[in-house]
Amino acid sequence: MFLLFIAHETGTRSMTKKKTFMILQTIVCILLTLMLSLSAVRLYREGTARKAQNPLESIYTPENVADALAPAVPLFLIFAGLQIAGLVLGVKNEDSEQPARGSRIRCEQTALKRPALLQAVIVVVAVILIIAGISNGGARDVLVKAVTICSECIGLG
Amino acid sequence: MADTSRQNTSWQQAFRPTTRRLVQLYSALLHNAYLKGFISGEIYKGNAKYTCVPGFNCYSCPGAVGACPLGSLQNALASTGHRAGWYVIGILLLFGVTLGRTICGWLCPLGLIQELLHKIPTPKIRKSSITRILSWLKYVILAVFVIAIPLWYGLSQNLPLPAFCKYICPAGTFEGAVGHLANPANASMYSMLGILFTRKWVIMLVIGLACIFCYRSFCRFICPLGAIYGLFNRFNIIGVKVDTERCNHCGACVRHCEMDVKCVGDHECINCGKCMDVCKQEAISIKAGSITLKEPLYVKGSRHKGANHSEKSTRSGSMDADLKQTSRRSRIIWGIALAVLCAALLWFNVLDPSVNRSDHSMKTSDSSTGGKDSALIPAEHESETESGSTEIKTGSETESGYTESGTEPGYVVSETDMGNTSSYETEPETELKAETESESAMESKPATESESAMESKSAMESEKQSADITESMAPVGHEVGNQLADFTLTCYDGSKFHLAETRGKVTIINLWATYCTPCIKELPYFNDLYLEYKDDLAMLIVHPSLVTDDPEEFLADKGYKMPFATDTDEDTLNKIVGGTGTLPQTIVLNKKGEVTYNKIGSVTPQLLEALYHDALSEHD
Repeated sequence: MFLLFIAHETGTRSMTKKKTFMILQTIVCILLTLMLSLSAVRLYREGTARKAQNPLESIYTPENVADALAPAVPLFLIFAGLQIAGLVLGVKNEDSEQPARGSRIRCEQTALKRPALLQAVIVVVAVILIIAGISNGGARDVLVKAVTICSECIGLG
Repeated sequence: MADTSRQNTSWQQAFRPTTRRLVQLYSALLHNAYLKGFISGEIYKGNAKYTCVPGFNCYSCPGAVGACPLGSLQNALASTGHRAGWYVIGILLLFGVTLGRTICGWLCPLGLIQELLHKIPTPKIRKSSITRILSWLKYVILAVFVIAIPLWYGLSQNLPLPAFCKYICPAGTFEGAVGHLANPANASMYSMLGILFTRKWVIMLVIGLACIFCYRSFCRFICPLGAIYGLFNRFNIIGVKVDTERCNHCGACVRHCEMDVKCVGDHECINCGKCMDVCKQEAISIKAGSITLKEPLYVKGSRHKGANHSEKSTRSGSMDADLKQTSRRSRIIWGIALAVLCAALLWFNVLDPSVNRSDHSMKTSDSSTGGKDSALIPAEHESETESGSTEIKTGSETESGYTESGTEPGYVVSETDMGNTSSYETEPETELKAETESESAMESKPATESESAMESKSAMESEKQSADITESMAPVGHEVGNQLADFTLTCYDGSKFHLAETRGKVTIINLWATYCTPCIKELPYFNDLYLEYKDDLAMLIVHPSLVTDDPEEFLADKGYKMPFATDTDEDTLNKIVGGTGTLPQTIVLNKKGEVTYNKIGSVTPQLLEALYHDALSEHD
C-alpha cells in the first residue's frame, strides 16, 4: 500500500511538473506573440506620426526595428531554453495521441466507382490545359510573376 | 544501466523522425534549393520558375526555385481579361488528381512548419464539432480571396490583385518579407514597410500561435490550396486507401486522426497515414493506384487469438523477411532521393545557365514589345562590343558599363560642350551672359592686352558659372549624391528621352510594370505632378523588358501625359539606376542630374511633392 502510495505521489508530482512546464511554455509563447505584435503596431503608429510631419521619413527603419526587437530577445532565449529542456527531459504532450472523445464518430467508408476512368480523364484534361496554357503565354506569365518580387504579396507596403 | 538504456530507447523512439518527417524535410529543402538566395538576398530568376511547386511556398522566398501555385492561380485569374489561365488550372488539376492532399501531409513546407510548431509542449485544443465547422472557412477564403476578388479586379479594373497573398498569406510574410528583411543586403526594403506589413505580421504571429495549440490550424481552417486539393481527395491516385471489405466501421481511424475527418480519405484527410497504425483490421494502406506504397505496421501475428505457436512463428518469420526486403528497398529509394537532392542543389546554385544569364539580363524568348523601338544610347560615349551590342562607356570601363563612384566623373565637359551649353542655360544665366557681353561692348577705354585678358577671363568665369548650375562633378552612380549615367530611350510616342537634355530640370524616373498593382496605382500621382510642374520637371516612366501584356495597349485609355518607355532587352536602365527587380522604384534627380532619392516602394502624392521640392531646393 505504501509503495503504491509513493508511486502515485511520484506520478502525480511528475504530472504536476510536466503540467507546470507546459503552462510555462504556453505563457512564454503567448507573451512572445503579444510582444512582437504590439511592437509592430507601436512602430507603425510612431512611424506614421513621423511621416505625417515629414513625408520623406520611413515608417520602419532597420534601427527602430532592432530597438523594438531587443526587449523580445530575453523572452525568446527563455523560449529556446525551455525547448531544449523539453527535448532533453523528453517532455511531450501525449494527449494528442489519445483518441478524440465526444466527437461524433460516423465512419461511412465508401469507394468511388470506376475511379481509374475519372483519374485518366482528369490527367488528360490537365495535360491539354497545360499545353494550351504554354501556347497562349500563360506559362510565361507564371515565370514573370515568380521572378519579380511582388512587394505587396509579401507584405512590403 | 538497463534502466538507462530503456530510457534512452524510449527517448529515441519518442523523438526519432518518422519517414514522413524525413520526406517533409526533404521536400522543404527541394522547394527552396536556391540556397545562394539566402546569402545574397536575391530571389532565383531561372527557368525552373516556369513550373509551379506542389506545396505552399512563396515564390518571393529567397530560396524558392518554383512558382507558388496559389499565387500563380490568383494572377492567372486577374489576367482573365487578356488571357485564360489554362496553364495554372492544368497544373492544379494534375497535382490534385495525382496526389490530392497527400501534398499537404507529405510535401508541403508550410505543413512541416505547422507540425513542428505543434510539437512545442503546451496544452492542446482537440478537434470538435466547432473545429469541424471552422474547417469550412477555407472554402470561403478560396471563393472570396483567391477567386472572386482577383477575377473582379482583373476584369473590371484591369488591376492584378492577388488578394489572398496581399491580405492573408503568412508564408509570404515569413518566407518572403522576413526572408528578405533579415538579410543586411536588403536594408533598403525597410522603407517600403507600412500598414500592410504591420497587418500581415500580426496575422502571421496569430496563425503561428494557433498552430502551437491546435494541430495544423492554417491547414485546417485557412489554406485555400488545401481546399482545392481536398476536392480531389476521393479519387487521387496516390494516397490513403481503405479496404472496405476489411473495414468494420469501428471508427478508430477517425477518433485518432487529428484532422477534422469524418472518414479516411475525405476532403479533410491529409493522407498522412497515422490511422494505419491504429486500424486493427489492417484495412488502411497508402497506395499509388493498385501498388501498395506503405502497409500497416500492426503486427497481427502476435495478437491473433486462436493461432497456434507454429502458425505464429511462421508468420513472424515471413514478416522478418518482408521487413528486411522493405528496409533494403527503402535504403535504395533514399539513396536515389539524396542523389537527386544533391544534383538539384548543385544545379540551382552553381550550374543553372538561366540564373547566370539572369544576373545580367532578363532576355525573353518572345518579347513582343519590350525594347524593340527603344535604344539605350549614352551621350558622346557610345561604343560597340565584340558581340555588337551597345555598351555604355564612360571615363573608365566597368562590367556594368559605368564608372563606379569615387573615380573620375562620367560626364566630361569638353570645349564643344561648353560652346553648346546654351541648351542647358536658364533665362537668368543667359541674361547674365548677355549683360557681361554688353557691358564689355559699351566700354570706351582702349583695350590693352591686360584688359582684354581680364575681359576674356571674366567671360570664361561667367560661362563657367552658368555651366556649374547644370553640370556636376559628382561620380557617376545610382546612390544618393552620385550623378546618374546618361542614357537615351525612345518613348512610346516616338520621341527620344535624353537624360543629358534634362539638366536644369528636376528629373523623376519611375520603374513600373503592368503586372505590378502598386505601380499601377501610383501612376496617377506621377501624372498629376507632371502636369503641375511640367516646366521644371522632366519625367520618364519605364517598364522592364520582361513584358506580359503590351504596356502601350495597357496605357492606351489611361490618358497619362508623361512619357513612357520600355527598357532594353539587357535591362540597361535597370542597371543604371541600381534596380533589383523589385517594383515600383522611383529615382529623383536634381537639376545637375545628381540622385537625391532612389528607393523601391510605393509613393504617395505628398511624398512625390516633397521629393520634387527637395530636389528643387537642393540647388537653389
